[in-house]
Order: sequence, then structure tokens, then C-alpha cells
Amino acid sequence: MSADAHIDPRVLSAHVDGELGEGEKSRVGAHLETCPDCRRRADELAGVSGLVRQMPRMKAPDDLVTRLLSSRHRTWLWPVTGEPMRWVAAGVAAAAVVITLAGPILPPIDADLVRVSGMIRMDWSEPAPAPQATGDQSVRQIVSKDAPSRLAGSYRLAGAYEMEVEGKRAEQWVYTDGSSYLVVLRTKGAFRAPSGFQPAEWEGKRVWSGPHPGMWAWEGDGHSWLLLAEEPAVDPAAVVEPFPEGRPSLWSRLGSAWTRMADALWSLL
Amino acid sequence: MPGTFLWQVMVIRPVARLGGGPPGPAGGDGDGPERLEWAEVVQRYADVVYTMAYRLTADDEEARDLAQDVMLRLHRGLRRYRRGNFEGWLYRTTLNVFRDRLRKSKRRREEAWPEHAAGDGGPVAPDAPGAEVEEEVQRAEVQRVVQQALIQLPPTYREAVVLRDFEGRSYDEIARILEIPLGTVRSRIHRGREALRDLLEPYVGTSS
Repeated sequence: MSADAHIDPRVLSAHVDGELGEGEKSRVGAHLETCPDCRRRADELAGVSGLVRQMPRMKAPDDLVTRLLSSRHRTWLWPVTGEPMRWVAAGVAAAAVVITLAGPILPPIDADLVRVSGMIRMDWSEPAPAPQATGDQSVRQIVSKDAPSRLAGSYRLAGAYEMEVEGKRAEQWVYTDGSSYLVVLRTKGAFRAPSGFQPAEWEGKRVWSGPHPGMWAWEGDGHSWLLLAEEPAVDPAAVVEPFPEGRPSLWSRLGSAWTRMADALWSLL
Repeated sequence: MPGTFLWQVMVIRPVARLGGGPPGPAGGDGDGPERLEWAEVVQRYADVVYTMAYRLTADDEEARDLAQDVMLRLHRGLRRYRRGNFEGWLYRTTLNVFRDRLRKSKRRREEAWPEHAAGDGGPVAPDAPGAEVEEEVQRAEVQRVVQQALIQLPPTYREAVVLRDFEGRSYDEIARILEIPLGTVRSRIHRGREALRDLLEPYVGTSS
């Protein structure tokens, strides 16, 4: 009789953990009184559990903690055609100049705020090939008079950069709210939509949505503009206004793919 | 022209702190006192994440990388964090990263997790005197064996057992963290334990 009524082993495990309701608990308890087999099994399970439980806590390595506390790692994108990017750092400005020009919105910035630790090429039109890092370069900061510094909410201009890509000048502004970044990139001329960009519309204005949420392109002022938002679900009201004519409600559609991609890149490092 | 467009991805590492000071923006975004500071999160949870990562992987380097990934995801999400179940989020993130990395490493090389790992059972006091030395050595050996057994479990069982027996989470919590029904929690924990029992047979019997 009692042999038929052996306890379901999963229930036995839960019993060992004290995870059964009252009814089940007393039923299992009563059975264990009379069934040495189940008792032995329960003891074994408790023994296994005990072995895992006695494993010691460990301390995170100091260098890991230090790194976590002191550095912030970020990924950003540049559009480039063809060959690996050659870049030219152009111009340097002292932090004092930055502050003077931009007034109180700007945080104090060191001249060599940013160091490029790798460049990765990726082709979005196909399943992405394994990106390769191509070494270190330093990037210098510049100040650009016409930085789109109209800001709303908590994003502040954190850096302005200038570089040459394939002989073409490009400017970049980086905004941060202390934990995430927005990057606005501008080059002269029309926007040549690469694969992965879809034409879209915003209040009658022609824009392109990029292969990732948080990535938008548009034309204006004789330039093509690219916006890359790291934070998915950026509150549109808390964002810099790179659209000369207004604020895109499209941004509310920012999703999580950008974050996922940043994570993927991250893990490559 | 279309088709071969390349994105140059730059990975940029700020070497000075952006903005400095507290992240309190002028407007304030109403998170109030429930907001967690990054430094506090690191101090309080880096050990937890690292230990759990180590238990799941039995490899110091892998555990470091995993812990770093997890912490940076938390960092990124902190801004959106509202008062809530922080630890649940922490565990879920840890397991997500663990799974991602597992998938990736499987793709990269078909071999299993490294069989050898230094200092498996965690820190051992090296200068324990006299007879205690032997006891200590023995304990360390058991811990090493248990750790090795853990990583031989299929990942889903491993996660459940680590959450239950190592992290001491209740079945309800585990169900929420892993987003699985309670019955599945029961069976995963149980199967994990059965597999461990087979792997650890000589050590399990000690009490009876």
C-alpha cells in the first residue's frame, strides 16, 4: 500500500526546502514516518542541498570593483563608406574655453576626455560578420560654435568632436544625462541612405529610421544628420533637439535593440 | 552603392568622469530617494554578482567578464530604475548575461566549460595551524568537487539550484526571476539535485 503511495520526488525536494503548503506538508510528513525509502531519498536531497549551501561567498576582485567604480564604457557609431576610417583629430580646446563658450550647461571636460580603444567594422546589410578591433587612437576634443545645444530636460552637452572621414569633414556632439548618451553626427551634403535605413515621415518631414531603434537620420541646413541614442525609451522631452523644425514623436518608438547591440559590442571587448 | 555600406563602430572609453558630481539634472526627474547610486550598487552587489557568476561558471576569468557585463547592464538601467525588486532584477540580469555568454561560447567552441579551475572552492586560509590544516584542506576539496559538479549540470538546472541553495531564494522568487511556473521550479531544482547526488555520491552519504 505505502509502496504505491511513494512521494513524487519533486515534492520531496520541495519538502526538504520547506516549500510545501500545510496540507501537502503533513501528508508528506506522515508518509516519511512510515517509508524508509522516501526518508532516505529525502535525506540525500537534503545532503546535496547542504553541500551547495556550504559553498563560501567570494569577494569580487579589487581591480574589477575599481574599474566598475571609475570608468564608464560606451559604444557609438559612425557612418563610413568603403575603406576603414582614417581619422584626423582636428583642433584642441582647453576645458576653460569650452566652459566659457557654452556657459553653464557644459560640465567641465578634460581635453582628452575620450580615448578610442578600438574600431570595428560592421556590415549591417548582411548577417553581421565578426567585427575586428583595430587598435587605439586618441581623439581630441574641439569646440564647435554651432553645436546644436538647444537642450531640454537632463541631457547636457558633454563633448564636441571633429574629424575627417574619407576626406570629408564630420562633426559630432555627445550629450549625456550622467548615465546614457546621445550622439548627434553631422556631415555636409545629402544623406545617402545605406541599407538598413528605411524612409519614414515625421509631420511631413522626410527622415530615415536606422537599423536600430534610437538611430535616425534626416537632412537639414545643407547637412545630413544622424542621431544615435543609447538609451532606449528616451523621454522625448528630455532630449536634445536636433530637428531644426521640432521634436520627433518618432523617438517614443525607441526600443531596446540599440541597447542589445551595445551589449553585444561590449562583450567583444 | 547599397549593400556594402559599412558602419564603423567606435568603442570609446571616457577617461575622465563626465560631468562629475551627482547626476542630479537641473529639472530633476522625480525619482526621489528611491534612486540608487552607482557606487552604492557596486559596493553592495559586486560580490554577490561575482560569486554567483563564479558558481555558474567555475572560472575566474569568465566570472569577472560576466560580472562586469552584468554590472554595466545594471548601470545602464539604473536611470530607469524605480523602487522595486532590485535583487530580482539583479539575478535576472545575471542569468541573462550568463545565457548569452553560454550561447556565444558554445558557438565559438564546442567544448564544455573548462575542467580545471584554480581555487575552485573559493578562498582557503593558507596558514591554518596544525590539525585544522587538514580539515581545511578537506573542506576545500569538497568545495572544489561540488563546484565541478555544479558546472556539469545542464544550465537550466544549474541556475535553479544556485538560486535555491546558494542564494537561498524561495521557490516563488525563483519562479519570478526565471519567469517559469512554480511546478517547473520544483522539477528543475529536483532534477538538478538528483544529478548532483549522482555526481557527489561519496560526499552525500557522509551523514547517514
